[in-house]
Amino acid sequence: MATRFVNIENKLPASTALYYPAIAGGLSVTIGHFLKNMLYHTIGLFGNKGAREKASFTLQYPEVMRPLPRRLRTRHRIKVHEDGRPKCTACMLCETACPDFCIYITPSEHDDSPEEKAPLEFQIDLDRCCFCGFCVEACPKDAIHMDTQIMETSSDRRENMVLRLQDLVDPGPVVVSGPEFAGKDMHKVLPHLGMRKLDHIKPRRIDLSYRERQATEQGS
Amino acid sequence: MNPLLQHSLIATAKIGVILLGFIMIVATLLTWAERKQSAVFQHRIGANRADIFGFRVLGLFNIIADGIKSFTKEDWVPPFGSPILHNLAPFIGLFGAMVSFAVIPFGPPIEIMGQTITMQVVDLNIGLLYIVAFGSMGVYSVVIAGWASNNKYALFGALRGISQMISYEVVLGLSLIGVILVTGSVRLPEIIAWQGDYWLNGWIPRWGIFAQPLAFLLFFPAAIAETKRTPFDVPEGESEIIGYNLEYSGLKFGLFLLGEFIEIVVLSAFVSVLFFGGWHLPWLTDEGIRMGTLLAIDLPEIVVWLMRVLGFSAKIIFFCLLQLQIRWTLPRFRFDHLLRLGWKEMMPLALLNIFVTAIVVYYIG
Repeated sequence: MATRFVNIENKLPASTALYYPAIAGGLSVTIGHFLKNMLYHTIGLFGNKGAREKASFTLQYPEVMRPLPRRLRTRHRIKVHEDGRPKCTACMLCETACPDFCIYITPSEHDDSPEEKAPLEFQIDLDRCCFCGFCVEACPKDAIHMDTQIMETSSDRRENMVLRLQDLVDPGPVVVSGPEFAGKDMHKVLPHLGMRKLDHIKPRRIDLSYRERQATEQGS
Repeated sequence: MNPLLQHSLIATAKIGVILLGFIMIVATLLTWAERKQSAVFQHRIGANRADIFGFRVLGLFNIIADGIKSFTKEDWVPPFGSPILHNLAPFIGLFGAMVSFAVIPFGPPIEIMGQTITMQVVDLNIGLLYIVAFGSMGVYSVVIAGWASNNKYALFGALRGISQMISYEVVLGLSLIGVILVTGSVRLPEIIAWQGDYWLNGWIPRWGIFAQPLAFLLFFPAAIAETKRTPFDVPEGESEIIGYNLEYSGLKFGLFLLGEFIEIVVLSAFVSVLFFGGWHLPWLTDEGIRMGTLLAIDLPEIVVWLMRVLGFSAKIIFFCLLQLQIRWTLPRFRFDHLLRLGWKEMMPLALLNIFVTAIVVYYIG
């Protein structure tokens, strides 16, 4: 392939090539924004709310939150029946579908339930979760949803990042959209009916590495 | 009182008032001002989260929070580097910046209890050269930091820093020669005294900016290049590329930053002294305001003195804010463009300035 030399005429206008006129132009733009915004801030000091909003486009995040889209995939929750039993039947489909292996279900048999099986414990390790939503699609019972609108799931402890069944059934003091929660206090819709020894179960060891876990999956 | 003791007491008091009472406070407030000013430019609010008992005071407590953070962070010294040099580097830069203030006159001499006190710590007869010399100490800080880290990215940052700072030191020095030719002195009080005069029947103050406009246009960018700030921030490039302070953490990293802000204040004071009349205010003489034949207001001596000191401080703060604004307005130079600008565009202009100034001074002045 022959090398071709192309002369590109890249002549800047004199005002740019001399730098100083262009710099002065840029500085005048920024000082213009500065003065305008300072004027709005000053008017805002005297209690004018509209002026304050004009002075900055940003939201003061922890105090003011942008409305989240309804379909945004946020922290998981497990839906419950009318009597408070989780809808989950411990079929392990979500655990199988999960690409991050972050779901751990301890299935149990249920004494007096139409479903016969129920999760004794249902853990989601949010440290691993990539919020792909495959678990939601896999669930045949429509039991797991990702619509709590909770996004602030940080913690300084790994253990605290593991959601347990109780956390999943009760997503906390957050307004949850969905018809089955209409008019219900989420703190009172709690599951204990028919569940055995929920509080005494230790979280399963979750420190399996990705590869180990994959190998176990494939071997079994 | 023993005169030696008296002199050293006065000098210590001056160091305390000027360095701790002015420079450090201005440099610390600049860290806040930079965040707030840029926020207002960009339609944001800026740092306002730190509060004490619910009071936020426009985010001023963020300065304290930043200080506590850098004090309590781990001070990691790379075991693969050179620990002594690694510890030394930030202090060299800070030392060079702080020491430069010794020769800057903050106001005209004042008589207190029968004793004339100059408003500078030492009245060196080579004050201008002294500031330039200590300003170039920053190069050592950069090269030692990059070398002692024993990290190739830090070393590359340091190499960029050295080539930039040494290139622009040439322009810096050459542009100052015009000022020296015109004022006929390298002693800062004499340079300021020369600028106290007027042109055109007292309508234009004989400031350096009017006597040497090209020198100012060359000196100011070169000096910004010396402080390693945008648009000349390739040695560090905190937003994208990694710089010479890569292996620094905690307080020593903060010292680099503080040194940078003190350099801004030094530069502002230096520009005010050389090009903007120092503590001279236009049409303010020793007796009061004299505006040709139009206006004559007599003022007491102490008021004139105070106005001059405050005027000089206002000039310093104006140039500090101007530098912050330049930083938040202009994009960064590409490195080859930066060196081309320094060597092939600014240095010939500086030489031309010297040539023309020398001819004019020889025939007129």
